[in-house]
Amino acid sequence: MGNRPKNREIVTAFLQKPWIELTLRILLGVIFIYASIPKIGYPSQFAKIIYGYALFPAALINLIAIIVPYVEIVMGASLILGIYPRAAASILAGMLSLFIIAISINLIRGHEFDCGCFSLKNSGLSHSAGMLLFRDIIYFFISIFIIRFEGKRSWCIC
Amino acid sequence: MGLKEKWKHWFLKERKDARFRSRSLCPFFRVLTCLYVCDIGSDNMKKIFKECCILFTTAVILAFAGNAISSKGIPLVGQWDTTKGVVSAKGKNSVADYAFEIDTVEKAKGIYDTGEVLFVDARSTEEYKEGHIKGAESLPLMYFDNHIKEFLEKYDPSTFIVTYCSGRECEDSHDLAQFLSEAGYKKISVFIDGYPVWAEQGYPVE
Repeated sequence: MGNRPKNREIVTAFLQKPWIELTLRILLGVIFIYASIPKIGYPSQFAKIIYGYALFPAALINLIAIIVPYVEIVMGASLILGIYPRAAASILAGMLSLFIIAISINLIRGHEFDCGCFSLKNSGLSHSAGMLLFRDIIYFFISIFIIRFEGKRSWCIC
Repeated sequence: MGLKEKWKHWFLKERKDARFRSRSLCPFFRVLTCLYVCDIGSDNMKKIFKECCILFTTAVILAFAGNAISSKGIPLVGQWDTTKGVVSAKGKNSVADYAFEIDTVEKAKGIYDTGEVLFVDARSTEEYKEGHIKGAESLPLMYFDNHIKEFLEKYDPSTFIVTYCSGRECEDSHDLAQFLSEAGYKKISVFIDGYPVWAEQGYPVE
């Protein structure tokens, strides 16, 4: 027990390092840009996947398919370039929490679906929904870390 | 102290500690409840909110511009009602040609019974093997290029072809019809209800 505060301080100091924030920011940015490109290239397939979630009203499906990929790419780019990274991470955290809710609902009711997260081809269920959920939760925490980071941010218009 | 009281005590203490920092490794719910409130002051919140608006507006403007320019863009509202035919975003490159469609299983059976028609299965080979309309030829959409040569040798371009896949949520039969017409076939229809409804009706399968 006596050692705990000391360990905690070390961890704290470590998490304040600017390069950690920069690395995580770039990582999250790259992930989201990578994920958005096929969706931008093939919006109609992406719309089909959204339809497959069976959660959204028909009138909104196309709008979601148009807007979501661009939100991903803009936020990814702004994280990498360091333009308002906290705002970008907040929006991503919001989106990720929606993804988490959507995946959880389908997981609970046992609805089979294709997440369409990275590729749009009929990959079927190459990732299990549990894995997806886990991955999205990790991303969510990375974005929370970026929002709450208090050390000096390098490469950034904040 | 009972577990519940301990929990309450800990929670109140945490709340009282205004300088509580995120750096302590928070349990999940602490992060959720204190997400924006603890470290980020209200001035900062306003600033972040403003930045969010700027970024989000940029993204939305880019989205509509990009969608309008893209050759694969989609309209604001798609066709997602299965009672009205096959579902599709109705993109600029959409192949769902509604004039091609055979929209009831009875019509399809009528055509099938004439005997002068070739049913073509657009689904994967595994699905085809599990069961298909009797006499149907397999031509999986994914491997169209590998199979089309053989197919062309076997069937004359004047053959009446009806494509199908697994129902109204599946556009593959339309894609296949498009590819076949590009390959030279003149008379093609799409049986949009596909194999499941056919089998449900008790029509011939194998």
